[in-house]
Amino acid sequence: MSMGVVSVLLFGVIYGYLIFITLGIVVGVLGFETFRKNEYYFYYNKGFTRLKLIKASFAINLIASIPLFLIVLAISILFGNASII
Amino acid sequence: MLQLYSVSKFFGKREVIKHISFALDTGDILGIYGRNGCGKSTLLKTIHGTLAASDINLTYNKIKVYPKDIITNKIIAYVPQHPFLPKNTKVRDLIPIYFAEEKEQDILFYDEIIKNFTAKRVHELSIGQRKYLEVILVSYLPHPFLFLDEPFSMLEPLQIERLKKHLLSLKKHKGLLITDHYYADVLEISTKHMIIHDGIGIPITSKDDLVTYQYLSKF
Repeated sequence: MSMGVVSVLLFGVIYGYLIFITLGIVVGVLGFETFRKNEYYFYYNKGFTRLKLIKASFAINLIASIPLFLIVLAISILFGNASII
Repeated sequence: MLQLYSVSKFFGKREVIKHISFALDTGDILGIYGRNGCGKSTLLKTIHGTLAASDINLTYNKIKVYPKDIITNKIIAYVPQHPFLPKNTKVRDLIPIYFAEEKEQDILFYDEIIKNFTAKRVHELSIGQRKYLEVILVSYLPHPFLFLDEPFSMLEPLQIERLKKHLLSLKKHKGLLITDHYYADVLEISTKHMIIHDGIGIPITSKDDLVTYQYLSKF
């Protein structure tokens, strides 16, 4: 989430959003691999492979961020003081 | 039945496990012994599919199965040696993630030991409490086989006794594989035994064999 906020502030709403849903997931996976790798076993026992988890995280990220993206986009258009692209 | 015809694993040029084989059926408890670094955890991980084997031939109920399918088909439940529960989650929130049915949840919520710390977060538990929770939680999953990597380590004696009783009760509908340096406890509850010596899996029958294969000293 913090990466999404930074991306929007630095690169504007559209590019910020695209960075968040692509690079954000990569950073998240790398972070999990580095600091919480053993927690994968918690999900393995429920039948989730690593790939399945990454796909699910990407889908959830995408779905959850669309309404947020639209709100930020609407605010930036209405008030005009934030760059859209 | 889970039949491992052969598994080998190389790390670089070093062959850590060499053509190990065994059969595990419902009612079996296979105890695996061996010195540190002999390949016990590697063996478990290669079968579970979380570590790629150099060569593996495995069947489940006489049908060839690939390690990559073990997780998705929920064939083996696995308790690894190191902590794996999400650290910041409360115990009472973890249980419903694994078990949807209230009846199943109650078994854990009213467990004599777990009931004392359901309000705590995982990182607030002692090592023994956490380990006990991990084993009990995973053991109630419906998988036909349960692999336990060091389930007794850091448990207090009462917890060990309780856990042994519990594992014996699971034999009715599961096959278990246990590896632990608490060899006396593993010997006590296992129905068959194997030691990994120089990368080879050797079936054994008694504590004397542990001496023969240099896992224990004579005195």
